[in-house]
Amino acid sequence: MDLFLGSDEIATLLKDPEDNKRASSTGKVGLATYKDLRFLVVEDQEASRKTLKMCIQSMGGFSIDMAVSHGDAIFRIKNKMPDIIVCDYILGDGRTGQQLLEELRNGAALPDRVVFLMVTAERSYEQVVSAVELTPDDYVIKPFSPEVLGLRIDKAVQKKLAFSSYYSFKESNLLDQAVAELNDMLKRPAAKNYKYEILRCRAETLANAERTDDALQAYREIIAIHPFPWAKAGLARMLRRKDMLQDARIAIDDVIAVAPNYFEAYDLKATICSEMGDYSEAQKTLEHVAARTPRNWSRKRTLSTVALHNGDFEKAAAVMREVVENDVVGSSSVADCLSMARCALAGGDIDAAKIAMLAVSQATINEIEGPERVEYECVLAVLEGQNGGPERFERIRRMIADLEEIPVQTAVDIVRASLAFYDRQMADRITEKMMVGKQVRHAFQPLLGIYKMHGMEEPFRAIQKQAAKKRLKI
Amino acid sequence: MNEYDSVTPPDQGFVDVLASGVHDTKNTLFDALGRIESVKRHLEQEATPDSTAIALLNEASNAVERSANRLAKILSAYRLLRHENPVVLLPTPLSDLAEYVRLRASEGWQGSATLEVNPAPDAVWLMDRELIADCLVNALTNASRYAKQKVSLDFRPEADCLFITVTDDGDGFPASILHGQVPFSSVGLFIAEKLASQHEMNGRKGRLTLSNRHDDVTGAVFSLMLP
Repeated sequence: MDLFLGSDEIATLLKDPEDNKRASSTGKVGLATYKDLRFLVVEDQEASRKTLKMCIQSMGGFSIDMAVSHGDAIFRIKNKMPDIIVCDYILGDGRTGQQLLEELRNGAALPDRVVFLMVTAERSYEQVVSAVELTPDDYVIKPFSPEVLGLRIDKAVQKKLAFSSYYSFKESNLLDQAVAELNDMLKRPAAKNYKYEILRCRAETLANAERTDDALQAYREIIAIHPFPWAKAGLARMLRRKDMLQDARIAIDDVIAVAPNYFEAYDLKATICSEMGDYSEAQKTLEHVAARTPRNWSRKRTLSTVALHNGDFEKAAAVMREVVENDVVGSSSVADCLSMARCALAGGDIDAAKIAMLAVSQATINEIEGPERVEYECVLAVLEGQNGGPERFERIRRMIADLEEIPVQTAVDIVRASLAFYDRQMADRITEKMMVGKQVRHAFQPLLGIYKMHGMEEPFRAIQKQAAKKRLKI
Repeated sequence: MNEYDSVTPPDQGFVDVLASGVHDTKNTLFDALGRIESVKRHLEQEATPDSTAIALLNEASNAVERSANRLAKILSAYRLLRHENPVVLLPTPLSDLAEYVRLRASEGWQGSATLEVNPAPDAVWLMDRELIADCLVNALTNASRYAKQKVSLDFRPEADCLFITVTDDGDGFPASILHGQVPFSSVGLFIAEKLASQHEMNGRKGRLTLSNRHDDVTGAVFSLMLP
């Protein structure tokens, strides 16, 4: 059962025309409304929790749940969705309200219509307002009076009400209707105060609807008004989608220059650099941001892969070891075992590679399919050598025929296995496919590395030359 | 060369230590303020509240609050000088800002003059809402000390600029401030001037203008222009 109030329900709370009139003219939502809404206060300090509760009660709030930590908040939100979350920026144990917000939004665990208000001290204010993409609905700086908190919540609730139709379309995945609603909102005088929010939602919805050209245009129009970092980041994503990697890189560099604490921008830059074949810059970028976010294991996994493709085997292996030792939850995944094995193989340590592959359970092996299955079989075939490897490699040939598209990592694993079993034809065919395709820059360096390992740089260069001629003819 | 010529300004490390001390003291004062208010509430809830003690606590509370605010301003000035607090321009509805400033200014209102916040036009402006609100609350509070009857706050978008004006009906700014002989001697004015100039759009910077009224009454006019 959906426990939180839907837009219609919130709107119903404002059905009294006097309330509506008051809400639109003064910004006050009214005591009657807050009485029926569910609040969640997230704050690790008991005294502050009590103060916030008193403030909300003075606004007419009645149903007020309390969370004492980041984990407690996640549990309570999943158990019973609140309508309004009032969250302190500092949550103890090195956690912040911003991390909570990002975790909830990234995990689609927080519906758009739920208000998220950040409470911050003066010293954290800049970090709160400089958040680029996953921003709270509003914020309030300590110390504040109950009236100031009430005003900020009033404004946030009003904004949610103004966007309620848009949220409904978005939640139903009716993205074209969602865009149409936003276009209508731009014409409504009552929505004038939300102009930038509407433009932002519009660009993001166009991007989600795969209307890349429209989204690109939307972001450009916003940037012409003001170069908001979120708009620049959106532009970079759309340019990447259109394979305009050089322009995408310039755009994301601009974002990093003005928002150095926006870590996702570094991830995007590393992806763009990798796709451009500039693994050196990708590794440098990820090393920089990983040092500032030492417990982001997903980012470190990417760093390991990038370092491996960059030929920095030691770094790749060290980072993967750190991930496996520390990230207890995700460390037995096939992807992690494969990464560990590839690092060991690159360093010539066959035994370590075999140990890494043994960590994958039979049940997991039975579940994997598609490119990841091919990668697994290829790495295993190489490790088996002549004891079973050729037989496995025959099966791999059939699997490859079924693949519609071959990701770069899969191609690298196939080529490694092909060369190990003297199937030059297969290796060259896959390499040529990558060299004529749009992933050429992305695939170039790792494939060159494999050919070099077998003392076959010359044949690789010959394939590359032929492929370049083919591309030019196209 | 006399002995003063050889004195070098304090190094940045020393200034940072001072700023850190100011910051900690400010926080301690705000903490003390909270405790005074708790004791006051406790006394007020007693069957026969001790009015003398409550009055004394009110005085203590006001003194602590003034000191804490003063330190907060000094700290803001230090950060602005060191460019530690770059402004973050976010879309801010003017009606929202007007209401927010009115509410906050009312909380610390002094004197007998009334505060009049004229309706802001329906428009959204890019600004650092919190810093601009702090600056306006400070300007309004200052004006309330000198005004005879009324302090007003107006928002006027004009072409590509927004003018936010605080006007009072006191004696006006002294000539020494208006003629730049004592350029922005108050910390509040210094911050306002720096803050305005850090609001930059398409190469145009904001500015602070101080003037005196030329209509039928005297008074000071504090005007922020934001591009």
